Amino acid sequence: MKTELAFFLARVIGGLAARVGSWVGNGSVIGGRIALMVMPTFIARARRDLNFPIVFVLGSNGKTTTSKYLTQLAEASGETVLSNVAGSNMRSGIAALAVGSWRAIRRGTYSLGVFEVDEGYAAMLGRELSPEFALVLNVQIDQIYRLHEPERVRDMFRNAFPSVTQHLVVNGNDGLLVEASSNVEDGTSVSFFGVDSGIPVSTLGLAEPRPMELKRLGTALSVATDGTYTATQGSESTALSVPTTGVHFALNGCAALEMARHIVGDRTSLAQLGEHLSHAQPAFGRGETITSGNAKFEIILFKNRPSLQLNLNAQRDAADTVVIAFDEHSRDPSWLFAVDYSAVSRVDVVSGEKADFFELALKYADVEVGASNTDIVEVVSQLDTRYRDAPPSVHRLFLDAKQMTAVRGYFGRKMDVKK
Amino acid sequence: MSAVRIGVVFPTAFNLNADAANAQVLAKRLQMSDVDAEVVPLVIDAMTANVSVDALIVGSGSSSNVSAPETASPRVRDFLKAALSAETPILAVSNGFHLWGSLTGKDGQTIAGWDVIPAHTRFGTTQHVTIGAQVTTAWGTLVGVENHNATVVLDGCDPLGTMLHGVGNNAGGVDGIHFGSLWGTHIHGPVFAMNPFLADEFAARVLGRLGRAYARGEGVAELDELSAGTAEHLVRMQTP
Repeated sequence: MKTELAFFLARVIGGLAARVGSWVGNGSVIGGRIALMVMPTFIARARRDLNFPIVFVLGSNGKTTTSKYLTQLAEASGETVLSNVAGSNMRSGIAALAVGSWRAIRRGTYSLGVFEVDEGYAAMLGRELSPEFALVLNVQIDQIYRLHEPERVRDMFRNAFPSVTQHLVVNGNDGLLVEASSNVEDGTSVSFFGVDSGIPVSTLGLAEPRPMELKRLGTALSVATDGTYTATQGSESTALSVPTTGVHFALNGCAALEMARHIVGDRTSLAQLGEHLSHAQPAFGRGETITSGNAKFEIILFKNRPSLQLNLNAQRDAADTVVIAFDEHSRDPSWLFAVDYSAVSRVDVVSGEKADFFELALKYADVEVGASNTDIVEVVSQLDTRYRDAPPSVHRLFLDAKQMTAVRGYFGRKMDVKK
Repeated sequence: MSAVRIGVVFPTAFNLNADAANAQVLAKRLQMSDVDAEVVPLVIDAMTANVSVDALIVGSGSSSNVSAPETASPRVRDFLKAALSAETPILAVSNGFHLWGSLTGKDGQTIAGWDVIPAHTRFGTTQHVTIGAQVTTAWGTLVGVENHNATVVLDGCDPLGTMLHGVGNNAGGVDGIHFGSLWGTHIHGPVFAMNPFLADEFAARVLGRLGRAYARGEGVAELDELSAGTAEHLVRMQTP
């Protein structure tokens, strides 16, 4: 009885906090934070009413994109999905999702949950939610100042695996994950996705790359010389097309196909799933294009060394302007010096609070830098003013998370930009 | 005149914090000073073949790379020991510095190292992360980032410098080691790019050993102005 009262109060107070937070422009997780303050076991209690299978999407990079792909595949196959695809992937984000969606949850609206989860919270949220499924994308060098080394991240995932009750999918090219995937309970099956042929696995940004020897047990991605992709599950193959350029996004699609096979595979085919994936929308900021008059602004989010490297490597067409903006989010900027910048010969503007570090790294890498301006909104505003009424042009913006939010905010004040 | 060859030991595995970039930075500064220079990746085959190098960079790796059998193999040890005996200037960073001595793991187990310098490292459970760490050296104050779980005890030899801010060796208020031609430090990543005075001192030693003089190129000044700004930036963002 006391538990139910606490749960009721946590939901009500959390809901009020979320409403107040949204009025002042900070409503994304405040409701979850307050709910957890009122009832620290809020998430475990909420799980009793989440009467549908839950999928965790984990990994150093690609969680938001893959969650979005998986959600779209599941919805196209008839599921109604509860998802934190906006990216609040810590405990407070999951609690906020439950608070904000409580009425729909109680009405039985949802048939599936797709939750991207931060590696630091994977084991704890695993114990609280006992997900039926988990999909783990990669272990990469990421936030060393917080996560210290890839082996520690592998252990975070490994500690979450015993909580998965039905099926675990991991990247078969990732030696650390393949090794950790043996840590599942009896009765939980494991399968793999990964690159089978067409590109060296050493280019995937993994901490411990390996050939996908276990392809028979999952979905394998082949990369053709013309840059097209094929996904294969056993004897079945389909063309794989995703909305954003780069093999890492194709791999996210391949991962979503492998997970979808275990959730909705009994009522659809690989070919149908491949078709659904070809209509998927990119997650915000991941290869999103915003058009202002004749000027197209490509927004490419990077968060760490492998994500910047893979996004740089993925660029094929020339852009009229290249901007890179980097902020204080990445507290240790050392990794900028480990990136191979040979894919760019010139960066027109370096921006963000840590523009100086970027300029230094680029100059030591023999990349020409046009200008430095720490204010990304000013940079984009100047480009917009100059090019929107000029002949058609493309402006490629590589942006750290806060910089992306600022740029989307700038355009959001002028036009409808999806939140 | 032949190119100055800057070797990078295990450039992929021991590049966790972008330490291998110090070789590129050094090469670029030498080239801007009219000295031909090249970066030589040193995987085990190259070290077995005893390739010739004029300078060595040993970066930091993950714990499994430190304890990997290949890392401590006699072939690697012999190559590095010979380089130190030949007074080749060496920059060794974090566990790429610890490996030169003897090592004890978190659980008290011995980890095979190269055992060629009088320094003992004990890895612990506390991770020391300092943004804007500062070390006073004979040539200037180093600024950078440290991130390690080591306590290093030096046996009768000099540190690289004294800690102004941060943990360093976690013993005696000092950082790193200065042993023969080896400089060891816990300041990781692009320490030469962030601290050009150290890069220039190192470059002078590399060329001095080859009987040549180092005269800093004019174009380097622009880079150094940027470096000064980044060092100030890190100090502004300093963590306790």
